[in-house]
Amino acid sequence: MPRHDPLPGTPTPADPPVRPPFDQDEIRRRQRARSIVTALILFALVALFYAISIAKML
Amino acid sequence: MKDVMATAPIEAPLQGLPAEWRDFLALTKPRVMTLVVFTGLCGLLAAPGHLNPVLAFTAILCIALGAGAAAALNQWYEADLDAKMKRTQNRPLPAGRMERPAALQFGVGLAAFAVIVMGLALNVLAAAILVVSILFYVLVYTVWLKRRTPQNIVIGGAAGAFPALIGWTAVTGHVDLLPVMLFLLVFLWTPPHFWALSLFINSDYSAAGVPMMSVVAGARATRVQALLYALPMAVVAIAPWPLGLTGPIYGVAAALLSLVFLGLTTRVGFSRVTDPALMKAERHLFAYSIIYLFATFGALVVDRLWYA
Repeated sequence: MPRHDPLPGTPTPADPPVRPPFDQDEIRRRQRARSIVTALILFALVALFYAISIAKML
Repeated sequence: MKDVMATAPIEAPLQGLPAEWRDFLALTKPRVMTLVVFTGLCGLLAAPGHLNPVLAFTAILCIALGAGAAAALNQWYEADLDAKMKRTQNRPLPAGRMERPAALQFGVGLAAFAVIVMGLALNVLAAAILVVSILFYVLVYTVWLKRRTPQNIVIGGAAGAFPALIGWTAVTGHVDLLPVMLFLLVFLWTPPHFWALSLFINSDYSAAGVPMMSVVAGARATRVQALLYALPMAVVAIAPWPLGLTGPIYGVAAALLSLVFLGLTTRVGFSRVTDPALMKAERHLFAYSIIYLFATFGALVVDRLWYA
């Protein structure tokens, strides 16, 4: 998606504040790390529930 | 609660910056969790009967997640206190690395998950005791007692005493005398353990306005009371042997370990040191109390497996 920054000197109050580039990178890095950890936890839980189901049948 | 949140001198979280996953892990107090998991595991291993390893793992996981949830909710509520103490001011909430609603949602979600899985995979009684332990830690200890009475950790200590009971109940589905004695052991162990710590970090608790025994009643009274709790603790620790609930492996180990514990508590009880930097006896008691609990529960498992 192309991003339309407001023209210099004409800030619009409704727009979110523009972050410095470092901030954006840091947000992406954290979101990516959290997504990976969440995916790993979900995968582990699926495996655990599968194992519990089998264990309860024995 | 509204007042607490309004007066909390907490760093403003970096706007819109999501918390690191490590901060969520830190919310669960992993170091405290190791002791909880260990006592829960020992309760599970000492219980008579057989439990499928997958279900045993699930039970321990639920105990760990329940403890982590309680710790997260504790930090959510106590962020203002944590910000005032050196020992805790770098935790995710007081350091401004996380927003409070995130900690609350994480804690409630984790607690609900742990209890539901425990109930479905193990049994309802174990899940019920897990609920009681989480609510006891969060509502009775954190919300009600901690800021109001110097007996906070005495009554609140019950929360840390539940895991062995949960581990046992996960296997058997009912409560017996031995896990109740293990519960009592941890319950009576908590005051000398915490009061030893509070003696040498008294200024931290004092600055935060937490009415710990050492802050309210002074070091002398705290030392004497720690000794008064250590005596019945030693009796409860050794009692399962003469009562025929365990064999001599546990009995001898518990007797020796308790003797050392009593020796260290007596040294603290009669100490006159007032400078925290010189409180070696208190630091030794605090460190040994952790070893004591690990070793006593470890001896119980060895004994039960040996004579099974």
